[in-house]
Amino acid sequence: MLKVDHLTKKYENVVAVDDISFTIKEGDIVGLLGPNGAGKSTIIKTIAGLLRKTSGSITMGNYPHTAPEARKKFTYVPEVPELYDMLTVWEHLVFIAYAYNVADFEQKAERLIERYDLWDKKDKLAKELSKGMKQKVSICCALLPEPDLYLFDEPMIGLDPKSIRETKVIFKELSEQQKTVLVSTHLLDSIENLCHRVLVMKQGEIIVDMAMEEMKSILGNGESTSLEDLFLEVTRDE
Amino acid sequence: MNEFRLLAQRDSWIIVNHFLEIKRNPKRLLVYLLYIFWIGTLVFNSVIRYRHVSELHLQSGPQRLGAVFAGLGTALILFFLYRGTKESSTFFTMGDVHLLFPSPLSPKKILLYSMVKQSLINFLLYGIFILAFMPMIIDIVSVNLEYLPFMYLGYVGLVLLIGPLSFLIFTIGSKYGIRRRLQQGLLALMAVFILYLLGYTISVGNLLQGLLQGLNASFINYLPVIGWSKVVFMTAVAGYSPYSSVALFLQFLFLLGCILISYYIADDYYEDTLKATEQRSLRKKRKEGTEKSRRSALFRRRNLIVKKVGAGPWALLWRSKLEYSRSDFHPYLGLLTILFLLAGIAAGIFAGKQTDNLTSIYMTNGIIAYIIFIFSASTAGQHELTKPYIFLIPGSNLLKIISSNLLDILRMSVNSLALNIPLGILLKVPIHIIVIMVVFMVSFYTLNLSSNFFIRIIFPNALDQKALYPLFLMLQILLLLLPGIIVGGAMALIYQNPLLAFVGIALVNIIIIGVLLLLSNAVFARLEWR
Repeated sequence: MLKVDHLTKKYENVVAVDDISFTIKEGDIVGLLGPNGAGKSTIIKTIAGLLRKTSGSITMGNYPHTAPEARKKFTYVPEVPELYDMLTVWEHLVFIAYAYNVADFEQKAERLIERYDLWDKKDKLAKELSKGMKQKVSICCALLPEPDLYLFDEPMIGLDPKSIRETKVIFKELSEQQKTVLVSTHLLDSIENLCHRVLVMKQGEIIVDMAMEEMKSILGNGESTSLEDLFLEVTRDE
Repeated sequence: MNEFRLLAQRDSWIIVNHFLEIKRNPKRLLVYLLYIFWIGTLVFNSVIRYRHVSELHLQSGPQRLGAVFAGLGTALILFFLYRGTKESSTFFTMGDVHLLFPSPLSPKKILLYSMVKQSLINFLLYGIFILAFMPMIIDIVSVNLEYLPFMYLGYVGLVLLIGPLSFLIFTIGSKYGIRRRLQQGLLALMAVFILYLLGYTISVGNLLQGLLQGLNASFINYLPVIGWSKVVFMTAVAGYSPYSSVALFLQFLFLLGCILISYYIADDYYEDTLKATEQRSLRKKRKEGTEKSRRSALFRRRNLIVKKVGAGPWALLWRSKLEYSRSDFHPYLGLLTILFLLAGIAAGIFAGKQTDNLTSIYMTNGIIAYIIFIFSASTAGQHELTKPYIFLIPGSNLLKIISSNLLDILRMSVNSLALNIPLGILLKVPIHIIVIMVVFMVSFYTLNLSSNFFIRIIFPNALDQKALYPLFLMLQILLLLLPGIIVGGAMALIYQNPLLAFVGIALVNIIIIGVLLLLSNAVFARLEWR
């Protein structure tokens, strides 16, 4: 579904992402982990086409990630939800439905805003929403087009416990529907039992790329080792 | 759905929502009415002046206005073009970045739509500036009202170009890897412009005449952008000729050309506009009071050591010093200091040719004080109120207010000295007059600062501050400017000495500052951090 090949991203003299490669197949939920400044958001923004890659290639299906055909295949949830201040929650969803040409979107949109407890806020302007509410709208906007690939950058930040739980359920449903999810997060326990695979980044490089079970068996002590323990182990400075 | 239709649909929802907001909260209508009233007063002021001052016009008025337009216009365009070689301009919001950019919509169509939309909005918005300057223009020259639309279009045609032209330059520079060459080309153009003016001045033998004649040379009218807009702008003053219409057509054709060329060559601009869009969003948040407000930084120094200036509330002064040390030449000196110094030298040289030196120094200080008053009315340093520290730090409220504003006042004192010392030396003005001028200007600045601080305390909601800005400005003019002018004017009339007008204004200002400080102190204790 997604192939990142020798991707490098530089900001002037700073190498944010250094020659990384990975492939994600359909139905995988992949956790992108790493300490602050490791390059997680840069990778996601580059895949989403918001940042220009310095070198390497990114393909979705058989298309380069910036091709119009590829853009129909993914949606993106940014770390900080930025919406149109003067559009209502419902209008955001209608706008996204039109932009992605989603057929019969009304029912899907209604179901999503119900799942995220936004029904009573549906006619509220985005500027009247709290940060957590905006994040919920941002997630709903990403889920509505039902693309093949979902790029989530810290989606759980600011969400209430019920919405975090709902998001986890949705991740599972997406995986069952053979959809692909690349999720960057610091809330390790929230994705521990969801991810099939983790990519751990440090200083712009991928230092671990393995299946969850494999990672646990190599580094940890079986079931008792948490993702947090593993993360701290692999990102520990020598 | 067609991309343009979709984007237009989104904007129609936004417009409808604005109306619905007014319907839900009719008080907002009052705010809009205040804006209309404010603009109305500007127009009224212009009309009154138009009827009364026509016989006072200077013979060289049109030449002066044309020179100012050509000089400022050229400087403005060259500055933004040069900036365009370094960073992109933007026509987007962060909503566009996160919702539109990753979507399947064509980046080219998003760009074209956004550029045209921004140009249309600016076409209407920039008119307020020309209205604000209209009384001044009418003072200088005789304006033919029949051709007033030309004046507007000449000015708007120039400022509308800034965004698209700057964006185009950046795109061309990035796409073809010629940013450095473009920079060199623009620097060469700047050098030619300066050398041209210098040469003219030397040949005429007088700086003012050199600038006036150089900037009004007939070939300038045929220069793209600057010349065309100048011809269109000056039609209301110099009279209509067929070339006015040709220049107007060329000006807007050029704008259209910039937009269309950008459309054809810009296909990978998302990252380029990201930084500018984030900065734009930050500026908006600052206006709304949700982000810290500070002037743009010249430098970003690290590892600074700033000595402690005192305990408790004085920590706020230390923080101001640290910020200015990091972002400016010096804690007490900034870019504005250089501008004031240059203004002082320039005014001194120009006024040196006049017979009445005192009038020149009074006028210079009066005009600058007025400009400071108008421009600082909406941008007082209220950023401290958006952070919790001013509420949490132990100490008296009065000291906190003083401490958080003191450095700005000291910096303005330095700026005022930078203006008045060269002016005083060049005009051979007695030292006590320079001292009075410095006190006058600083009192003006402090008055505005304290009144703005008081407004921020009474109306902590930044949206209220923004919405009620015209009302505040009118009240500030009535309650703050008028008492000083009445007392100062009376003193000057009674003792037949214009200097006493400045003394009177400064004294009244100081009294009002004291009252406002005490009021702020009283209200501060009941303030909430939001």
